[in-house]
Amino acid sequence: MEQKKETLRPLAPAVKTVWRIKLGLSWLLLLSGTTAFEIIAYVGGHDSWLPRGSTPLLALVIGSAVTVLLPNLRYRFWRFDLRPEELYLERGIFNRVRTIVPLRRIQHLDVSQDIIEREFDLGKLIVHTAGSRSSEVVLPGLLYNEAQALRDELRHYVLEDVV
Amino acid sequence: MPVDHGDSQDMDRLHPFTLLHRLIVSLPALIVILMPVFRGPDTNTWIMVTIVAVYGLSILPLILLQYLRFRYAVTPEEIVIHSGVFTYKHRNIPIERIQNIEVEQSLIPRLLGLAKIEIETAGSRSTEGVIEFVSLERARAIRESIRTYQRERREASQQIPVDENRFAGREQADDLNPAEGAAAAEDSAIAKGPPDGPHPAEPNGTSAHLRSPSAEVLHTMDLGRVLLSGAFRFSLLYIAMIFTATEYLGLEPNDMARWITGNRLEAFTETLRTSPVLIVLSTVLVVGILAWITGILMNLSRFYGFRIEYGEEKLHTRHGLLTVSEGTIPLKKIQALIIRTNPMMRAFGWYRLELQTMGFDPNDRGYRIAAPFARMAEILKIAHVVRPITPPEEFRNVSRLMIRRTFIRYTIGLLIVTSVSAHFWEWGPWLLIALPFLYALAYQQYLNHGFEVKESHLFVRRGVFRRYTWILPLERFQVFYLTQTLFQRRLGLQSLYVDTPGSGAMAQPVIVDLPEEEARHRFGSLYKEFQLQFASRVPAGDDLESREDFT
Repeated sequence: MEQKKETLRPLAPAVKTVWRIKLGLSWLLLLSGTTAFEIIAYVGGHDSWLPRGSTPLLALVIGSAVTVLLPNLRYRFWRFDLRPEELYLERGIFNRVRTIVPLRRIQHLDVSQDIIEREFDLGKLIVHTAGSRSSEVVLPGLLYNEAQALRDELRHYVLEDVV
Repeated sequence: MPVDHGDSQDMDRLHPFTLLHRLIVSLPALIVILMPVFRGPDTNTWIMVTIVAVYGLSILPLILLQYLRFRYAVTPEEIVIHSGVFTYKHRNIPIERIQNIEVEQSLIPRLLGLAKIEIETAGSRSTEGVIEFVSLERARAIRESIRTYQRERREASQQIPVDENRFAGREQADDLNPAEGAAAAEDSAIAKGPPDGPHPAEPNGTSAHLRSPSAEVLHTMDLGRVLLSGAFRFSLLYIAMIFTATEYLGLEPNDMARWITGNRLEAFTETLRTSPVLIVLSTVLVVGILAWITGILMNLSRFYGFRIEYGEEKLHTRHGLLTVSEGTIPLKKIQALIIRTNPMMRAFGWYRLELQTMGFDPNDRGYRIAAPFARMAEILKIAHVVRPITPPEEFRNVSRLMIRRTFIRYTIGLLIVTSVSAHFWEWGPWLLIALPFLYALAYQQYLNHGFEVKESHLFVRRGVFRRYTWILPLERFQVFYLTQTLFQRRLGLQSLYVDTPGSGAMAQPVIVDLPEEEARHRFGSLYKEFQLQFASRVPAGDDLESREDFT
């Protein structure tokens, strides 16, 4: 199969913000965890082989770098295309994965939207197949309407007995 | 002994001996509860009596209630099961959804003449309905009547004209068009009568049954073969379990040894004490022999009288010494064939055939053993029934860079282990001696890894200590993956993986470290051939218009 980059579609740009918020939240959690740890260590008067306050600082620096940069990279490598007979996906910053989901192999379809995605009117399309490793193929970062339209289109291919 | 339920809704009870069985089965729990009392220094009879009384008062009514609440009925439309003591459960399983019916007899039920019926459906991987216990004749009669109902339904559904046959690339793929899909599901679901009994011929031979309806024995294992297969199985797990059990029961290995041998081995043990090397060696020897013996016993109990038959598009297996299990594998549900071996078995020319299936028997995680221990020729004979194929003589190799990548991965693992162990153990750094062996292992991994595409099947071989050869029918493929890690990118390699239904988590038919160019080419060509095999179902007109509003 020929991979023509120009025919592949990118995700909706707003998904970068969604990813950024999610990443930021998890790093914030780590930051507060390390801060709490430092405070306890300080109050308890324990010695540390690292300079005081270094772990929260590290979490802050790495966390903000990751939060700023990672979604951009992830977005850049995410591509997909709906072709006459298959759904084609490309993704991965370090571990690049290309996936072909033959449309006739789809068992059922979900569109999901979490609370952050709702703010940006985005949604995910989740494609279920009978496969074992890939019983779920997730296509994130679609406009919610688009995700629904995609689902309705793919619904034509869902078979009763795929196995 | 026909079971005639007709439309009557009065439901059946289980066999009364079920009560007896439940009682017997509950006894070990009682013994475990009483364990501290037995082992305690001063055994107080009253405590024991109280525990037994409380146990009896809680368990016995429960057993009785369970029995009274459990009702079942088999009608031409569905199987109805009512159960539950505290929460009432009503379960209706439509006849046409039933995939497989297993009749199982383990030791105690066999002595009581009871059998357990397990009903499995396509929808879920777990057993959908269990009826335990009815009498063996009853179990077989139920299986027979479900089969009859299904045949009736299938005949009814064949009245519907089937116009999508052009999509069916081959006979095995015909369960993929909707009109026949339902029929196929029923067809594959028909439970068979006792595999050892004479086979009733199809009343009116339908076109679906091209092959002879009478069962043909494909492979059997005699006692010698079963024992030999156990000798190749080396299991430390059961040894560990036995030692744990003796520990729990407070039996001292020393006392046991003295009890068995008397003091005849006194001189021997004295010699052993003089040298730690001797102790280590003899321990390894003893554990090895025990593991060997338990391996033989395990295989004896599991595979005794193994027999696989073919008839009516299904494989039937039957094996076991204490627990005889009978199973049915519809050919249509077989997703892949796996030939397994290990270096020891291979040296003597022994292999094992597993069938990867979808939809039933959760205990086997979707793998059914079609031949536990057999010669390649015997394996191919069984495999031929499923798929008319011959594995390639030579497999294609992947890139030699795989050796480097595998070795680097092993080395990193070893370095981590070494640095951790060096903290606790002064000899830790000596673990690095293993490096050359790891290189040899990486090299062996490369030699054992290969693939080939032949006769619309993908063959993938992988593994050194556990060598798997997958035979994957192209039209069963689900999702295609081409992956490349950061390190693979630097070496210009990619891995190719095709997903099939029911494959487990343990080993997967990934073709690792193909040169980029070849990987891409294979990815495309495999998908193309899949499309040919799994002929197009996309409606031509509908396709174009929907494409427009999408782009």
